[in-house]
Amino acid sequence: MKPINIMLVDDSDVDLFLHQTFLNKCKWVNAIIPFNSGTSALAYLGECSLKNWPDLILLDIQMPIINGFEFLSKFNYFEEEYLNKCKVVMVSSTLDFGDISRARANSIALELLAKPLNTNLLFEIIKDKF
Amino acid sequence: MRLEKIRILYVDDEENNLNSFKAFFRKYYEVYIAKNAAEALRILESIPVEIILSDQRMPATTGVEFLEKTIPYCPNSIRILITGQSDIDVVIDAINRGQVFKYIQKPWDWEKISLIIENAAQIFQSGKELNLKNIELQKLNNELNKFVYSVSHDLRSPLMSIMGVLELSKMEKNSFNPTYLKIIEDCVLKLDSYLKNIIDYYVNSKSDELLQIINFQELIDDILKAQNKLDVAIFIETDVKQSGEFIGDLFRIKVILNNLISNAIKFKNPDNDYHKIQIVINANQKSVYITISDNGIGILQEHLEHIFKMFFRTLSANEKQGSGIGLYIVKEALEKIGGNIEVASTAEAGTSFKIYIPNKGNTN
Repeated sequence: MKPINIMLVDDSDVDLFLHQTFLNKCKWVNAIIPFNSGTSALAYLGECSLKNWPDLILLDIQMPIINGFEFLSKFNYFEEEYLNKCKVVMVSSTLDFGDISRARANSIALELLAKPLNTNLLFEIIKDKF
Repeated sequence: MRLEKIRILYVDDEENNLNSFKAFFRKYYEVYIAKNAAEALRILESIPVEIILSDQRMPATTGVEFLEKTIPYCPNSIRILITGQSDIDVVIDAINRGQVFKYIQKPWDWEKISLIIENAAQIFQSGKELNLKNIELQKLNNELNKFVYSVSHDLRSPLMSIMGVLELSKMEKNSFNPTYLKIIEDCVLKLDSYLKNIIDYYVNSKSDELLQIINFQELIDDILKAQNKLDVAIFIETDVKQSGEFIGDLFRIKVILNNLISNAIKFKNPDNDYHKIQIVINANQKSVYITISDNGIGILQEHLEHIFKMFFRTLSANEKQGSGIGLYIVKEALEKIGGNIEVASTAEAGTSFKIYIPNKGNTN
């Protein structure tokens, strides 16, 4: 597997820092680009060429203004070839049953992972996708 | 019980009856009269009436038919039918179709009618109180749901961040990395302030008003002393004017001011050369007006109407985030003590909160 580019979307600066540090230790990771809100991440994607489009988005659920699910429904409007290039994994500290079921039922998100992020688990989920 | 007068609508085709009814009851109730059903329904369109009395025998529409028509206008009102006949079919109809509470037989007996109306007014009042209680319970239940949801995220989130840092320290075999220790400290502080907020909220929602004499200068000095001293770069200006004794709920007023002042500190504008907070207090025998203004990051116009909602949060320009409970507590606490709050804000320029609280020592 060629090292992949990862976009992080999380309103917590601490978690952004942690996820970057964890992922930087992984051989299968190339570049990491962090965003602290869904709106800024969507704005970036809107300007981004297919070549630079991320391979993976790690998406938090509870965020102010737009949450992870709202992000996904807006994300879904990107063109097919863009969507096909990119996998989404949700990451949350939630124990809320509703959120967990919604994440599992979502067609775009591959999986919901618990915080703190376990990069080995993440690798298991995405290794066959690239 | 409210001192508001109970409203009664009386419908009868005999004008003499209407006039003597009005003359007799106008002292105790707000009395509306109508000669026929159509006129009565027009009144109901604009006036919510608590008690409706109708004569049974009227041309065009009978009393029962009329009372049945009033149900959509005011489903909770008490309906009373007056009749000269003792026809069992009319009685059955009155109960089943007209949802009639009492059935009064002519001839007029003022004493009896007075008692029945008094009784009806009491029943209406207790039904209304029950409704209010229900609304309050539904609100509490809603809050509880939101609360559990928020706990499942907001209380856990800093803990999971700490877990992540510990994980990292283990991986790097470096348990004294100052960056990591700082993250843990921040997470613990965040968790602690969240817990304090929850306790404030709980105390506010459960306890009755506890009245004490308040010296606003002392109060504000107290609050400022307790605020985070790390921010020495903030210039806080206070102007306290108090004439006469002010009696109020010290605990709630403290919670309100604490929240607003710590917000003003937290949401300072990092682009500013200096940070200013102005606290103006004007207390007299009647009330106190408190204004807290800052030159912080401000609130976006579209967010203003939501800021007092439970767990509403925005991502601010300086990337600090509240727990989403502070201003909600402020609003709830003010409601409990009969006060109110107004906010004016310009994004990037600053925010100003103006509070009004009545003086409970004011006996007028």
